[in-house]
Amino acid sequence: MLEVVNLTKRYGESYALNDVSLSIEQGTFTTILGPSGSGKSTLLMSIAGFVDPTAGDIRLNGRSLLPVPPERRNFGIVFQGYALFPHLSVRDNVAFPLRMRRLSSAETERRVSEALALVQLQDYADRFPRQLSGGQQQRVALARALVFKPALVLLDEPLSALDKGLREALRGELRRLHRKVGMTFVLVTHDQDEALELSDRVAIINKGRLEQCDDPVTLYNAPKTRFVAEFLGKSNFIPVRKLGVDGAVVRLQAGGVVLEHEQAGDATGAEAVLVLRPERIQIAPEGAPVGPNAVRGVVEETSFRGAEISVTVRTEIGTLLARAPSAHPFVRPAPGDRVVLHWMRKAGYLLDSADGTEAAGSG
Amino acid sequence: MIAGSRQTRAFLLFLTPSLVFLTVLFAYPVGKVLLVSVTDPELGLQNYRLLIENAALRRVFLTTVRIAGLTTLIAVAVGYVLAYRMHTAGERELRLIIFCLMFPLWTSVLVRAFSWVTLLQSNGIVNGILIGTGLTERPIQLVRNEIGVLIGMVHVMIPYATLPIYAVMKGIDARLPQAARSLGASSLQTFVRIFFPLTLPGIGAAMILVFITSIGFYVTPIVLGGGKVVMIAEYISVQITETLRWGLGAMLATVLLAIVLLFVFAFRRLTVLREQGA
Repeated sequence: MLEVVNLTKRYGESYALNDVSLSIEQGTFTTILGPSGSGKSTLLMSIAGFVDPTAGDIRLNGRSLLPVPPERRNFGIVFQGYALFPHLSVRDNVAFPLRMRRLSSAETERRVSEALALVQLQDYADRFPRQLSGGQQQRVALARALVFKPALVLLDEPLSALDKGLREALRGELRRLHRKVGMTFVLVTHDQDEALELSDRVAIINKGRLEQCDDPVTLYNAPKTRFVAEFLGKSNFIPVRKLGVDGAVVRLQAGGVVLEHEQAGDATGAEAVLVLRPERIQIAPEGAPVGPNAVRGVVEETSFRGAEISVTVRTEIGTLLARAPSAHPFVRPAPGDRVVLHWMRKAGYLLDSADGTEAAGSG
Repeated sequence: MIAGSRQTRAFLLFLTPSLVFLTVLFAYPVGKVLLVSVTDPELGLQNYRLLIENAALRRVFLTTVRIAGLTTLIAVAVGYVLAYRMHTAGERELRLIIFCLMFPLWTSVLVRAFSWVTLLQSNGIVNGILIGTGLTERPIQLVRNEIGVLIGMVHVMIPYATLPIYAVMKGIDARLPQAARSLGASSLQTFVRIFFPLTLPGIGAAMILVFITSIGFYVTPIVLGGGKVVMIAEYISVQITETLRWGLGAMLATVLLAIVLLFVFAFRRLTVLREQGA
């Protein structure tokens, strides 16, 4: 198990990492997700041993890694841009870590072919990196990082240099590869779709701080901060005041409307923010029979996005974004239409407004 | 077709000044030198035969190649270390090194050669220090011999050796050494297996540049060699201006040019092969 404990990296007055703690279980796929400049690469390079943290510790199975130089950490790294050695053939690139470990030449040869077979590049062993496409180079980098059976595989934006179609194909390949080799993978990316699709756990970093680390489903449905809610997909943020609790149901005052909310949320104060995903809001024509949470409004804007339609509605409690499947039985809403937006009691997530504003202020 | 020929004509028009310049000031004189080398004093290859038969001439030739070769090795070795230091240096140190490297280039070669004579002569500063610290009892002969010429030439050539190597080092992806470290290579192994091989084109370029410049050195060997170390350029000058054996001078100039072209060609072949990854 890899543990990052209160890790801090300061450059002069600015913090690249600020008191980050994280633990990564053996065999899992963990993604460190954040916008550019959030400190995610600094975190990865600290784990790799190329950045000396100002404070805190990094431990592997309980033993501190800080005194261990990068070449002794036994971590396979796939660098951004791959960092293949241009003067060595594919075979020699993949054999490099084995030669550094002084393996016999027969063993080296066996493991190299095994690794190349794993990424389906057996036929490219004698090529040089510049003779390969971006996707093939990426696979060589993977083979080189896996061939010595490292304790941990670190991937620094491995897919960002590729075009969209290839990126999606390689995402699937990366996931299959992880299942097959069963090693611990740590991926750094700014791409939220990549993070959600690939990972067992996602750690969201912003301004050098860890915002939340959870499995993708929890992260999406129960964001702990406004930053997380905004960074992973779109959300509506409705400022509310708690009126009272009735069993599991909390009654909320939003503008002139009383809303009902059930369970999920960490909010403890009287002032809170209701986080509502657009796809959880239903659209109905005005006057249709609806449930407890209903607000009236006028459609401001619609945009057709293939499988779904995004609808911006100016309502009595503020402007809300809703999404409906484009195959919805209701006639496609048009600007100017009067509609009712409604949602179930469990659709939203309640945040303390302090969390919401603090996260909004720093992000 | 019409547009094409008009384009061709415009192209030729723009090319004319440089063509005229090169023809008048380069192709014609070089051709003339070539011609003189086989026609003076009479038609034939007798000037070239001298290169094999004449012992004094052979000695001048060997001295030239030896000094140019040694200058190349020393200047490129020093240049490599300097370039590496520049590569790893911070902004301020880098500026300082570049300043120290470029400053001598603004001083005339003649002034620099005489400065070295002042420093290296028997009662100069260098021998003063050597005797003062008790390293030697009597002054060491540092000028009017090959050592003096080497010191002077290496000093002139160091910037030319450093800059091409530095340029190549700067072009190396900083993640490559990191990748090597992450794969288990020590810093020394990273340097030997990854960094150094990637700087080879820079070393090649520096060696060619320094060698072809050194082989034609004139002022520095005259001043620091004090007549005892005669390199080919000085020998040619003597043939042209004193003994008036123009044919011999022209032959030597031609051979010098041939050597330079040979090296440039060999180097280009090498780099082209490298780029093709063969």
